[in-house]
Amino acid sequence: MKSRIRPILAAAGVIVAAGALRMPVEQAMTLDFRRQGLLEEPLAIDVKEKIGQNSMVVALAGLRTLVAAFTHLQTTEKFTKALWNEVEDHAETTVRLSPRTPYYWDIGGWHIGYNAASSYRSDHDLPKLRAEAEARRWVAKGREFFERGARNNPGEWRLWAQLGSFCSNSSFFPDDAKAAEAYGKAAATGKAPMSVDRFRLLADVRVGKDPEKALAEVRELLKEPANRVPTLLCLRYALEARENPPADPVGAVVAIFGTETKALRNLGAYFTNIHSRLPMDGVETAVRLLERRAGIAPEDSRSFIFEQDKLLDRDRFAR
Amino acid sequence: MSRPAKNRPLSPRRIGVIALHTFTQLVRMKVFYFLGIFAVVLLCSNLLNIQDMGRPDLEGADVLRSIRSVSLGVMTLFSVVLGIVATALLLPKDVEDRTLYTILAKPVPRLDYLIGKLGGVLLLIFVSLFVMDLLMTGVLAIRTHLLVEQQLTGMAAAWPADEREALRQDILRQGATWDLHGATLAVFLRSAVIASTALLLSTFSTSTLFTTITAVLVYFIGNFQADAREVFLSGEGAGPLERAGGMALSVVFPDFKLYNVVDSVVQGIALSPAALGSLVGLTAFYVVLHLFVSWLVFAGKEF
Repeated sequence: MKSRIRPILAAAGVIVAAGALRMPVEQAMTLDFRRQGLLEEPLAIDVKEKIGQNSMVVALAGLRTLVAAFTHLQTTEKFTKALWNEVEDHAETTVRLSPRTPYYWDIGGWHIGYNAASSYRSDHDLPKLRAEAEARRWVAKGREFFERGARNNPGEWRLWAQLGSFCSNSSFFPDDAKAAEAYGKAAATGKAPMSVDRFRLLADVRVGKDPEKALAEVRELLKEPANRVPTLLCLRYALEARENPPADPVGAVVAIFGTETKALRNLGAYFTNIHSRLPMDGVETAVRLLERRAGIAPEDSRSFIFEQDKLLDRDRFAR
Repeated sequence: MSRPAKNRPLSPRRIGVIALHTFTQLVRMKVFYFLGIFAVVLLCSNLLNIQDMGRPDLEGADVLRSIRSVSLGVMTLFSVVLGIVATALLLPKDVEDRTLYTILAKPVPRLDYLIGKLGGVLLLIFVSLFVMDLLMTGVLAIRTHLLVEQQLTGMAAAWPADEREALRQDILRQGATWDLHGATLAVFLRSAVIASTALLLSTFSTSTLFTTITAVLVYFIGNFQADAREVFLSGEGAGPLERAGGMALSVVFPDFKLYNVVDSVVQGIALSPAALGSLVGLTAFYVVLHLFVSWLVFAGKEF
């Protein structure tokens, strides 16, 4: 009997001794892996409740991202049925299970911010004021979702850029200061394409950045050929016109755009973008002069002046 | 006149013979049929393309993430289940078939027998995971190539060069990377620990069912071990009894949570060689410990 118990006791002793030996090593590895982002923090109680007991066991057994893939499928299913509270719940659970997957934050923010807000806004069963209030509430939620995603993944320029884009969108109660900040953070990752710098500048201008400084920055950006996009060229013209109204507007626009046709096409599009909230100094004058030289009367349906009037009327009616 | 060979333990040749025999024994149990199921699962995850509704900029990226997540999830399930069941089955089966008596009647040290048995199971898991890794990498490589082509000639055709490059890099990051092979290795290491745990348990018990159930419980408790250890080490808000419980759990059970780095790789986080090296070291420690303890129990066991 004694000889049968002895090896078991010896085995238990070795396991305990080895356990005491490895404990500090395992703790150091856990902390190191957490610092490297290789291990997640333990799941909060509310997430455990939301995913259910079975899924929780699976999630804790090293299949957290697999469970996240399934909760994401549930998000999509609820989205197709426009059950926005449930969409939010599932999106929240998904990002808690897999917080370092930018895709989940991106698509979750898109559902909560853009889709839910648009759905409430166009819900004709709700009184107009209530619908607008609901839309505003969901926009705030979407913004908060994007922001948390970006904070959880600070090196991901796309999430910061998505937040900037959402905050700049004139249909979703824009917050240009926040947009400028988000675009700035996207650019600061060092991985963002040049367009992000342009969007940051546009947001800064909308906030009311000193026109002189803004103009200097526009000129600096335009030195890069890839940045010579119509919006930035038009902004340059408007800021220059604000600083010093040109004596010869046509000459000034040709100097910027190259030809009168190109100038009219670009400035016209800029002028008719009534929700852009960008400076319009001297733009209407230039468009009128260019159209007169092209033989287009302001009452002509091809005229950008005519088109802008029409858009403004339609916008007033919609409100 | 030749002298009889000394019956020294840890003979690589002897261990190799037992390991190969165990491998063959398991192959005959049609374990590799699972690879067919894996291929079907891989194919299904490849068709899962419903996530990009209304977001052309995210088109396809989720399929790549799905393939990674589902493949590594299935690999984890397969390797853990096989590690437990195959190991739990071996000793009782050898007793039942009376193979064990034939082997132990020969000059085979019991330690070599245990190492050989575990080696055979690990060889089988390694070969299976290797094939699954090849399948996953192949599918990911093909799908990534198609996706890059589709996005760059479609939605991003008119984008500036730097934005096209950023998109291409984003897609490639979701495809087949070296980190994925590291994750597969981590899956293998986890299965090595659970298999050696099952071996240790099977030296105590003679019932396959008992060993299997206990090993599954050890696996789940092992996933909480880090929480118990933190209760013991930090002691915040915990009474003496809870701390003692935390200490007991963390001393007895292996920490399986450390192997959850696989989840991070699925999320696109790089697995450093140092991190992988420390996992290999820890796994070696567990396997050697479990083998040694198994031998302590098995050495004096009478059949």
